[in-house]
Amino acid sequence: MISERQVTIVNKKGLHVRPAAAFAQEAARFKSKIRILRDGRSFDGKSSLDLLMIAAVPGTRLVIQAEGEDAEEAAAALAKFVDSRFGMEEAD
Amino acid sequence: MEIRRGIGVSPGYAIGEAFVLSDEEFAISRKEVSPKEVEGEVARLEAASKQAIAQIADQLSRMSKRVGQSVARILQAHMGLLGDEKLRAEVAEDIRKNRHSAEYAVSRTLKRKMKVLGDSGNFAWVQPILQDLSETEKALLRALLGEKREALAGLTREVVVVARDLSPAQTLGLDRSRVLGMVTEIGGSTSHTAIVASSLGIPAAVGVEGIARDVTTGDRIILDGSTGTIILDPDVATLKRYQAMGRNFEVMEKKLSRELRELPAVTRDGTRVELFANIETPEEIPGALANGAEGVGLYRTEFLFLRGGGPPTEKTHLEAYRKAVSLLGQRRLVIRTLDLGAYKMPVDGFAREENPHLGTRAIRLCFARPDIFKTQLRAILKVAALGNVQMMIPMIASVEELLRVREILAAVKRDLQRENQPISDGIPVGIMVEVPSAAMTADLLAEHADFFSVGTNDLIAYTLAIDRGNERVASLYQPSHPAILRLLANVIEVGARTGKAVAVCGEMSGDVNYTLLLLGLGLRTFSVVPPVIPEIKKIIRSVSIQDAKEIADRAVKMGDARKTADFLKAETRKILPDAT
Repeated sequence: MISERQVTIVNKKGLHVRPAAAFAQEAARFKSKIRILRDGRSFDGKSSLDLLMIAAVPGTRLVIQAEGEDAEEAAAALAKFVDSRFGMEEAD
Repeated sequence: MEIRRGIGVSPGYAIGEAFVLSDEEFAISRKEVSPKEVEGEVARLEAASKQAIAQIADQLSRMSKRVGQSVARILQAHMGLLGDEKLRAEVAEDIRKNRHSAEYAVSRTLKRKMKVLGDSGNFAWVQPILQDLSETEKALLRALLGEKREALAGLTREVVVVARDLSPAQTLGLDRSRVLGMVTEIGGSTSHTAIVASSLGIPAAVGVEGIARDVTTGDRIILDGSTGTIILDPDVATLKRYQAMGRNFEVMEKKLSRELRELPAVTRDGTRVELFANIETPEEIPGALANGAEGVGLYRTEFLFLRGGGPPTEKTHLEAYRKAVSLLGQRRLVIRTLDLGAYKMPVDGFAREENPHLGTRAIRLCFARPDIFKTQLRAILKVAALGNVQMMIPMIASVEELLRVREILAAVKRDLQRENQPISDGIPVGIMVEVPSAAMTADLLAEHADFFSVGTNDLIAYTLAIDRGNERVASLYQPSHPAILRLLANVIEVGARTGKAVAVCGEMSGDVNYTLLLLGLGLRTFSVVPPVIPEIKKIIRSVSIQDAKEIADRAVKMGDARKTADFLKAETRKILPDAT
């Protein structure tokens, strides 16, 4: 099963080191494979290093693609996680 | 293959393995391993990443209470990177596929990531990420290398040294027989690296953006020190072409130097010209003499002050000067007293200055700290009894300053005589002419100075108000500016009229394109970096004073920096077709 969500990076710093680590950690909770698609390129959503390589500045639009038994749940949760600014306070 | 450009500061070709000095001086000693060792390297990688993570965990556990959440989160993020499976998989693949050592594979993999990010646009935005990746690389290397960091001084093979910047201590520590070339990100053509490299005859380029980030120790690299071109990962055809050029260059250089070394620097009409060397350490003297130097026209003593551990003792000064004298015999040695700004030499009691170049530097620092100055003067006076020693005072801007130097010197002499120390009574005391006021009042200064040596680098900077290290204005740094030619002509003319010797020891003196001009203006003493001596001698031997005078006259009358530079270059090419 494959599920996708389109998201926009809305936190002030973009997909920096801490958000990337937090996202990878969040993604690891799911059994599904998580891929992040941008401009035809695909990145591993469970690798914080790969997430950094997206170079996603604020405003970047990305697609979260989950593949596996909990795909729908994973895609929905991770999209929400991005929308909620990676669960961080903006002050940092 | 990839081509980068910087500023060529010391001619010659260097082809070989890069040796990247990071700020922590990590150096990777082995690039490849045997097939049998491959799995061992993968295991080392796994162990290293566990160890690096454990170290951060330990750090976290000890500090969590005291520091804020944000620092802890950054450390957690670093742990995430260190434990990243994708990173480990990529490094392991590089080890297995290319039989790279774990260190090399780590460094190469992360450097490539950093390069991709660095090239992604958004320069400012990616900077912190690059730092985090660099931290990750360092943490893994620390774990892999343990304490076995290879020092620059202990190189075991020939390498091209690549660094963001090289400190004086690092360049001093270089094993010269192993360094094929030097490449740095920082610096202009008057930078420390530039001066050291060209005086040692080691090809070098400075101002090469991002090079220390993009290159990994062990990578193959080509450096063309005349044009400042760097080629990363060259293809076979390029490699062959540069190898041929390198051989050709060496043959030409050796031939020129051998042929010319024994011949005097005499113009076609029999006028004798003196060629001296600029040096930073006595170790450079044998090479300078081999290139045909008649002695040392500028011994910069700043290295003694930059070694750390406070201002040098009299003993430290004496050891260095004695060594220089013993290598030179009765050949001339001109020792320049301290020429540093307070900002470069952490001495107590000096606040940060807003304009250090217009502040407490060189002789002004010596007046502010007579203890430091007197220690150096004592050593110079003592060594003057042993050889043909002269001393030169930098940054003199007025007669009063020179008189004050004379007073301090007389007091130091009295002290030494009271101690019954053998000293030379009549040591010549000259001044550097590098402040425009000194160049304009050379006639007044001539009454109290035994000789002049024009420091063109600072003279040009101060006259044209240009900081050559500032890229935005660097192109306005013009040795051929009419103001510079007039100041030079004035100093040389005053010297001839008053019988005081005039030398030019700045970079202009070592640039073959200005040899004809300086000769024509009446200069008879050049002090230059040793490797250029043969070429300068060749020019001197190819012309008559009359030819040179005509060229200088035309140049001075042009009144236009660019046209003058072009004209001088064209005249020089007639004699040295390869000059750049």
